[in-house]
Amino acid sequence: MRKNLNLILNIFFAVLIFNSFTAAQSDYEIVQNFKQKYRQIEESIKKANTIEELNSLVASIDRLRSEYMQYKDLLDKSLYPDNFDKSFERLNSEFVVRNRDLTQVDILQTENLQLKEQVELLNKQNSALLSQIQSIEYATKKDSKKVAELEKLVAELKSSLKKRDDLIMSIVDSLMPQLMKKEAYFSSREKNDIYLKAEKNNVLDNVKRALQDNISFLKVTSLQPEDLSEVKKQQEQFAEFWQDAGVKLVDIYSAKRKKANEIALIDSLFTDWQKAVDTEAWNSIREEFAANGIMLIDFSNGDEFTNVLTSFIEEEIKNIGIKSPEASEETYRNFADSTWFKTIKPLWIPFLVEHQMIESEQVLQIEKKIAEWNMKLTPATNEWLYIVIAAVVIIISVLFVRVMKKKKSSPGDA
Amino acid sequence: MKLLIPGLFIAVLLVNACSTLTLKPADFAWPIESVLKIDDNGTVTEERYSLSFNTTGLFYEEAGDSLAYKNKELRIIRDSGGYYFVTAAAFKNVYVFTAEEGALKLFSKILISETGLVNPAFNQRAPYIELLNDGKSLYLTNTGIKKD
Repeated sequence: MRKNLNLILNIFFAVLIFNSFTAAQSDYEIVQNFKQKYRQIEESIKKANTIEELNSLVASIDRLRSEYMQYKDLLDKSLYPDNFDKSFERLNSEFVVRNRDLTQVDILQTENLQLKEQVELLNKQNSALLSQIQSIEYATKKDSKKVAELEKLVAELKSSLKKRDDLIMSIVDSLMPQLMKKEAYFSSREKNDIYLKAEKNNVLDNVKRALQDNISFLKVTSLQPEDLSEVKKQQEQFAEFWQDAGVKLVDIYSAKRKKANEIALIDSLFTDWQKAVDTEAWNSIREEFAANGIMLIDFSNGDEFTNVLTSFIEEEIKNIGIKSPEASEETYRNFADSTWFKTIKPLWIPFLVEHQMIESEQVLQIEKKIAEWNMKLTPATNEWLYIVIAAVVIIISVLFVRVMKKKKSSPGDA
Repeated sequence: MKLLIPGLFIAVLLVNACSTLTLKPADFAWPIESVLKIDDNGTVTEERYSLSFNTTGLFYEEAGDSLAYKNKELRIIRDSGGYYFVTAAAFKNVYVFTAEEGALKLFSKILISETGLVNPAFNQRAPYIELLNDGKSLYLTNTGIKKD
């Protein structure tokens, strides 16, 4: 019974197999199948993300060609307005175009990798420079050799930071050219693509690191107005870059619900950086006064600066007559001649006014106060002069009277 | 005799003048069948060959219901002689049409299966049209099934 059942089953399968070989096939179906497979390959070419993926399709193209070669006549007639060969020519040219695009992407990615390595190297170098500067700052500032070394290191660090910041912007430029398009709209797929690229290249980390280093740089160095103007320019560039790319990145990251904190941190670091430049300027000004023995209390904006300076002058005016004249004059000379007129007014005031850190009226107010101080010091000086002149005049008059008296009392002698 | 020669000459001229110009040979064969969706009005349109016709009469003839075309596909192929072979799934017949002025005129109706066609398909096998019915093959001429 079992043998019979096996025999029946074998015959059934044999008939099935035979039928499948002998069953006639619809030409329409052959053409439709060909078109479907052709479209699948076309789609795969378009979707290929790497050259390896693309190259793997060569075998599929060859297989399709050889599989349907037997139907070439049918396909020649049916693939109107193309034919069998033309269809494969078109597929090949699509392959070549995609290959060229991917090669370009590959080159960009390689370049990007090199940029990334350079950024990492510069990050390390900057950290080392920052700590070196810090240690020299703490050691001594009076040693001229050390000061020269410090200046050299600061210059080196400044250029290194600039180089690194430019590289970060290049990375964003090269990987996300879409980000630089104004008013660009991204589909969710594009957003995802940019997100992945940004993550792969540590864009947020690098931007954050750049801002932190720039803040540290300002903290450990004492810069001149021209250096700070350069930093301000850098900040404007960054603001422009962050307005374009940053806002879009925020949008992309918030859609991903990831790293929203990091984006917020970058925003706050940028604000800190801007504040750090202002703080650096006010500190440098205070140091200028201190270098000439004028110790002022802290100020961090135009109003405070004006108040501190005018209060100091008022105090000094009050002290005229209490302090020795020499001491009062020396303070005036140190304040006005050696600091205000020598460095603050020609170097710092234009910077402060240009960056709206102080009003022209406030500068005028300080200058008036300095003039008043000068006036108060000057009469005191003249008083002594008048006394001396009066004494001289009195002495001359007394001598003159005596001489005249002598002449009158001796006519008989003559 | 004098009248016969000119008479014959005139007769030849007249015959020539009255005969229709015929271009031969001509091949009307479509390389593959077209599978056409029937629109809400019962019309099918073949874009490659710029052919369009209404199918309601065909469905009335086949099923006795002129609205039976709904959600159906029509299969059509033209043979080398210029005859249109038309059928659809569940049809019992293949209809052969000739082109007339602004119409397709039934030339013949070939009975294939009393139970209706299963997965029908036409192949161009000049001078015949191959009809596949559930994987089985039949060769058709414009008048009927080709006999071996």
